[in-house]
Amino acid sequence: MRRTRPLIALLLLALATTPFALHATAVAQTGEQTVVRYLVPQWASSRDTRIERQIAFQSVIDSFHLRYPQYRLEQVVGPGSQVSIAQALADGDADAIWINHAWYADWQAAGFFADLTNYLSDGAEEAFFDWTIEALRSVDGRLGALWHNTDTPLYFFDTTYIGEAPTTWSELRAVAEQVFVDTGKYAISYPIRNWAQYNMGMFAALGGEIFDANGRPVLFEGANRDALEQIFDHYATIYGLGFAPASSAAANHDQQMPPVFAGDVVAMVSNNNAELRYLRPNLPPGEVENWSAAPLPYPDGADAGRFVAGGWVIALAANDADPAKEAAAAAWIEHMTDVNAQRDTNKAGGWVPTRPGVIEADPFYADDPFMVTTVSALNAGGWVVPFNPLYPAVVTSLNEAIAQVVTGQQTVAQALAEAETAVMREYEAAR
Amino acid sequence: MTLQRFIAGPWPWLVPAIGMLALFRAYPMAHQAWLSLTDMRTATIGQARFVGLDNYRFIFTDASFLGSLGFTFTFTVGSVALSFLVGFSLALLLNRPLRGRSVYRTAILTSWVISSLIVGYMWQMLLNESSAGVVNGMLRNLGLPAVAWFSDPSTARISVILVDIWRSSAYIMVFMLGGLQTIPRELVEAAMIDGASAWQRLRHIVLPLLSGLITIALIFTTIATFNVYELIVSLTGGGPGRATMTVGYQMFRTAFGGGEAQGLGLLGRGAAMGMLMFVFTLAFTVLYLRVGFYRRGGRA
Repeated sequence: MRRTRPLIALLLLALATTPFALHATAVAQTGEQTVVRYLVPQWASSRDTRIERQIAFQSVIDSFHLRYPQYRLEQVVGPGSQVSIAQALADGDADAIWINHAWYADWQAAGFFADLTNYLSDGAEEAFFDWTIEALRSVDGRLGALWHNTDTPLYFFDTTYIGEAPTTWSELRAVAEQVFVDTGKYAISYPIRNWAQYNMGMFAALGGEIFDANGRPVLFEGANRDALEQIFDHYATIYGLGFAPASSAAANHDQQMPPVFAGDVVAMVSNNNAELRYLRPNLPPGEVENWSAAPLPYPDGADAGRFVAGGWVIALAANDADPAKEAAAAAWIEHMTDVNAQRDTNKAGGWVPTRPGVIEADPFYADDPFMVTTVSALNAGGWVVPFNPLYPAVVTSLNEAIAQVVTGQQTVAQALAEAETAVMREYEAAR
Repeated sequence: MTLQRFIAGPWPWLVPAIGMLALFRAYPMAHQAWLSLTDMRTATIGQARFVGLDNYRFIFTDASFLGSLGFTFTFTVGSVALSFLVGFSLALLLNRPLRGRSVYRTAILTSWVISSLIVGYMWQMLLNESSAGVVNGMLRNLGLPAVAWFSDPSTARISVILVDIWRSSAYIMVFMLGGLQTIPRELVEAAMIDGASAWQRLRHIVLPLLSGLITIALIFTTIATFNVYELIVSLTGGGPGRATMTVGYQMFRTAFGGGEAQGLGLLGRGAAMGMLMFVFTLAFTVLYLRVGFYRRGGRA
């Protein structure tokens, strides 16, 4: 025991002094530089496991340091969950944060973000798709973030079986019936667990409104309900006639793929990067070449489709106590979303840039037929979901309701009535 | 108590353990209990309002939560009971002199060693309903009709219970096998000489001697099964519709969002669901302990 005492004391001393040593090292490294703490999930950082992402994100950080020698970017790679980010915001632990666009409104309304308007270069806002800036300003007029990347669902089809993509739902049903009768294959698959992602835009295309001006859910009322019923009826028909595999009723994007790989399904709805993410790595080259994509077919009665535009934004944390730091973080956000950074990082991630200029100038986007289709869909009918705290509750209720319908558990009227009750309860609880 | 007596007693030795328990168990639990009485959302961290029992009132009048609770009970009872039967039977089988016994033990144990998430993905592929699905392919080769493992709500419920049995029975087997090997051989041999049948030996010797171990195994398995989350996420996502939604998964989705529901972020309500899970788990534990206690004639 006597012999081990000095060792234990030494160990305790080392443990106690480690934080001080680390802090001293950090101070020595930063010197007079302003440190920007950038909270980001691993998959969107230079510490991702994929080499192409490591290179792309690190090159943006390096170019930032060259451009602004007075600033130093510190990537804080976290789980990227909503709760961990909220905690970091509440504690003032981050200066710039990569977040899902769906989380933006709540935090913007709660005053967590500063206004980027005063920091941006002249003409910076005009370089983005209009709808990104409009959506971000829609909360309270301030611009708390810049939109880094977007995506949208597409209709993917095997040209061996489907010569020309249907544009409307009635055409889709006709094609599905023909393929089913001729070949016994399914001519459409939907990831029903992600149903709202590719249908709420179509609801908007039919003139449907989810919330009124005061934020009250009105989607189950009057003409809005008619539009919802039309959409639900379409799915009830498709599944009722057996044109879509029953297994997709319980599937998300990933889980709907095995029947596609097995050749049971010859067309599907999926996110625009499905070609890169699923088809190319899993199908033989000869078969991959047969696949093409088109904008989602839209409901009869709508003039055109509306396509949900998702994606991630980079937000500026409010920092009244240290305006210099806020300015440095704003510089990083503008740099991270500029032409070069958007081009390289979006290519590495398989995402769509939010600057039309990047898409037009780079062959990766301008020449790739899947990307061209994605961009044309977004240009023609890109639609951002409403920034209302109740929207996730609407999505959850509708996704569950449609599953009840396509599995034959409930009629359309029953499922919508149940969804309405759930949504209105949430509305009353939130008031 | 004087300081001297305090120092000389057991308390100084217990302080680190009590401190750790207070820090990592009692404080988080108390914090969660408080959280469940607020309207805290991820957007309002630090600005939560006290709302009393509103979250509990909402939950107990919410058809979707009550549905999840009902399925969770069905899932727990079905899975624990059948896992115990399968696991105990396997333990009895592997306790006999058998060629390649250690190979069987290792093979069965593998299902418990693999992470639940991986188990879910693995069975997702095995039970896939397309022509790529292994199990349906085998059924078709045998001339039997394919089964809608996950797309039919009733079958989906059975599927998740079966997968959980596959996983949990290995755990029970290990537990019981350990117990069986502590039973003195002389006891069993004496019973055999007295003419006791296999059933009588099991009923009057093995089960009474293993009752303490069985109670513990059942407590652990029940807690793990009632709180199941990863298996549901990877297997069905609670679907189709809400057919396989468990309280654990609903709590996660309510508090943290997930999928398209990202942004739900109702931490207060999620905490209330967590508190209810704690109460149910505690009730199960007390029940098992009391039953086990009386079975052993009041000797704990």
